[in-house]
Parts: sequence; C-alpha cells; structure tokens
Amino acid sequence: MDLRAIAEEVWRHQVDATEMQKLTERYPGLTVADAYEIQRLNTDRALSQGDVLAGWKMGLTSRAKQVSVGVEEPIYGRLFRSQELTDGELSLAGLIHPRVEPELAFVFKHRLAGPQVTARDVWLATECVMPAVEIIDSRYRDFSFTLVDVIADNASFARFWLADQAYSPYHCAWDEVGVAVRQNGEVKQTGAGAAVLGHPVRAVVQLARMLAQVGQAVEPGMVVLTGGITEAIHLHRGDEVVVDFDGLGELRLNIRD
Amino acid sequence: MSDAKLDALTETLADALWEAEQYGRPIAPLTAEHPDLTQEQAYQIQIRNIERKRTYGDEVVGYKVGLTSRPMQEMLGVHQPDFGHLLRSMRYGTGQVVDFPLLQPRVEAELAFVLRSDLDGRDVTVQDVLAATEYVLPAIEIIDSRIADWRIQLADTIADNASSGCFALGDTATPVTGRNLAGVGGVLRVNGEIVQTGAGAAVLGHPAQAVAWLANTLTSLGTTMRAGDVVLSGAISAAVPVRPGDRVSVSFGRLGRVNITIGEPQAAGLARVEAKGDVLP
Repeated sequence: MDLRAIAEEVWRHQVDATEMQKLTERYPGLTVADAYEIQRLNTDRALSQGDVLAGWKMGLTSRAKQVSVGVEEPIYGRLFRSQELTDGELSLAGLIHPRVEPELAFVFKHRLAGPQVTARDVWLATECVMPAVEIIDSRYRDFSFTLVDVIADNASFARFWLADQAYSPYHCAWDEVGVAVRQNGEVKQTGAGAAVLGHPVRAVVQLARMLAQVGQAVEPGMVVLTGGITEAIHLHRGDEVVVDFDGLGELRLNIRD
Repeated sequence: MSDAKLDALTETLADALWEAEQYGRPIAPLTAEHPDLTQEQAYQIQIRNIERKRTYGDEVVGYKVGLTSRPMQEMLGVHQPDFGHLLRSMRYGTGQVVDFPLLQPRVEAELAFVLRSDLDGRDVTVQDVLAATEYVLPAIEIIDSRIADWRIQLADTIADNASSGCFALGDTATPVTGRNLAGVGGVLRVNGEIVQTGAGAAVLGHPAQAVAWLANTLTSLGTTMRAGDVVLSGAISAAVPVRPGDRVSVSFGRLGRVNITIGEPQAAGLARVEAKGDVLP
C-alpha cells in the first residue's frame, strides 16, 4: 500500500472540502499505525507549505463515543495555525458538514512528553486553561467512518477558537464546569467537564503518553483541545451558536457562507 | 361523554394503573384504547391514585416536573412540561439501597428545590421561585413506567404520575443566592462509569423556570405549593436504564452529591402488598 498516495488523496479532500469514500473500504489492510502515518505525512505537507503546528486535539474521549467506534482509548489529531479562528465569524467555505463542540483547551509553557506522564506533570507544564470550541468536519460521506478512517482524516479536525480569557489551571475543578450550547436561542446540548474521560486533564495525560510512543511531544506554546464536553451540533448558514462555560464566559459563533 | 361516563372512565383507567403497580405488571398504553384521553382527564386519573395512596397513610411531600427538555417534549409532541406528585413512600436518602418496587426504572440527575415559603399566585417568575427557595439539593430521580416498554403518549405519562418511581436526595443544602443554577454542571454515574453529564440550562433554560411553571400550573388547578415542599425540577440529561444491583451516583460539584444502590429484585408488588396486607383494593 502506498501511504503517500493515500495521504495525497485525503489531503485533496481536506483542501477541496469534498466527501470521500471510507479508506478502509478500499484498503482493508490499513492499520491504526498506517492511519497515524497518513496524518503525519499530511502534517509535513502542511508545514512545508508554511503552516504551523499549533498543537493537538483529542477525540473519542467519551465512553459513549469509544463504544460507538469500538475502541478503548482516545485518538489524537493535529491543530494547525491556519485553521484557528480569531473571532466568532465562521465561514462555511472549505467545510463539508461541520459540527461544533465545546471543549476545554490547555495551553503549555513547558514541554510535556514521556510514557509515564501523570496529571501532576500536566499541571506543572500548563500555562493556562481556556474555554474553546472545535469545529469538526469529517471528509467521509455522511460523517461515517471507522477508527482507522478518522485517524487518517486528522481526527475530523476542521477549525478551533479559544476564548479571550485564560484561567490558571488551579482556577476551578475542571470536571465540574457546566457547559450549555445554545443554537439560535435554544438550549441544544449541556454537559460537564467530567464528560472528558472523567476529567479533561486525563485527556492530556493520554495524549502525552500516546505521543511518547511515536517520539512526539507537547511543545511549549502548544494548545491541546481535550475533547468534546457535549455531543457536537450541526451548523447551518445563519446560525448563532452560543457556548456558555459556567462562570468562565461564553463563546459566540456566527455561521456565514 | 356525560360527566358520569367520564368519571367512570377515569376510575377504570386509574384502577388499571393501580393494579399494574400493585401486581408489578405493566399494561398497554391507556391511549391505545382511548386515543382521545385529554391532559385534564389524565391529571384526574393521577390525582385519584394519589388520593388512594393518601387514604392508606401516604403523604404528599412535593412535586416533580417532567418533560422539561426540548428532546423529551419533541418526543411526545408537546410544548410544555408535566408534573407528578412526590409521596413520602417514594423518598430515599443518600447511601441507601432503594427497595421501592420498580418495573423498568431509569435514573436522572436533577436539582431538588425545597421551599421556604408558599408559592402561590399567577405569573410566578424565576425570581419569585428563587426568593421562595430555602435551598437546593442534589437529587437522583428514578423514573418508572407502568406502561409496557415505556410506549407512552402524553396522557399516559401524566395519568401514571408523570412516570415517577422514587427519588433520593443528597445531604448538601445550598442556598440559591449567588449561584447560577443554569450553569451548574452535573455528572451521572452508574457503577462508577460516567453515563451522562449535563448542566442546569437543560431544564427549560433554568431549573427555577420549571418550578415557576409548576407554581403557575398548580394555581390554575386550585392547589398551592407549600413551604417545605420538595420539587424535583427536571432532568439535566437523558435518563439511563438501571438494573438491580446498580450503583448510581450524581455529582453537582460544589452543590454536592448523592448516591444509591438499586435494590435486588424483590417479590414484586403483589407479594409485597400482601405482606403488608393493607393495600390491595
């Protein structure tokens, strides 16, 4: 199997915002390791074109999602600087069937790596925690994929946006933070930080350990999106989506063409 | 239908639900045979059975508000909540094994309001509710249905005491002053695994909104919520089916936690009732 050719194909669909058939239907032998290699190859491509690696995202961080895909552990993807929103205006250009989910983002001041990383190490390395939203968008038809497919597609990452206000990692108990997502004034989803592996810090621990296996690390200045606190909601042109993090402020997204 | 015929109908249907509960045998939806059953008739059926329990010595200790989330309302095709009665016999405390006779139980995380003063009048607002609230408690509501497989329409669930089973209250009492109850996050665990999380906003945008709706609805029915009443304000997440032996916990962060164990299957309603010797009609 030519992983470079497959990566090229995935890249094309990511750039063109066009749906594709599941890779695993055409390449049944594709492994999780192959999928991460495809993700890495496309990262190299992005960096060679001048993009910057802004950090990492964790996916499949809720038990329900892990069960639905039939796995026992989360997955990770890459965040690119070119995909970071600087305000709440989200253009649908370049997106296929986007959804938004509320997350807590950790921003790092020290390098975090190693197979034995603990929550304690994460706190020591963390500069701040910020309310965030992630726009996910699968390049697969009908948002339908297997574990291998979604990893190859950069864990469905599309865009991310961090709140203006940052908080000390010791500001509050992050697992207890309540979050409400309103779409056009109506409450669509609610959740609490504990939805992410029991506590969002555990997503960072898992990430650091998974990265250690492939010689990667969370570098100073990087952002880690820890995983969806609620189910993702579909976005449509004209929507106003307000994500309220209890006591931490809100993020307001306007969806336009 | 004449008043007498209506009366006979509500009595028959109330009896059917009563027997389903006592014998531990779910029945077909009331609306299967009586598709025109109105909300008003359904509440009459509910109140008949609550009155019957009171004659056996039970006592109303408060209310529950149901159908408070948009998904639930959409599922039943309604635009407002419903309510049921909470009885002393349904009440459990944190740490207890729930030995209530349950048929097809599901659990929900809720905030319980305890009133310091009567909540009477029309146009009760969220502010009125907050002013009348002594404190809130973390709660687990165990919902249940006497209708087979939960195949309920609005009238079925209303007649069936808003699909109540029983409830458990935590020990942490928190005054509502300075708290944003819409933002409060809650976590529901079964056997240690997180099965749902949510926030207060899931309940009509704010849990006190559900209590305000209840106050206004009760007033229109000629009843009043009293100081000391407990109000379960509505689920902050979807309900989760449970089985005997399951350990259930709800955590509302600084608002406290509550946990229970679902009791082993017991001799169902009938044997339990016969043992008590006083409830069967």
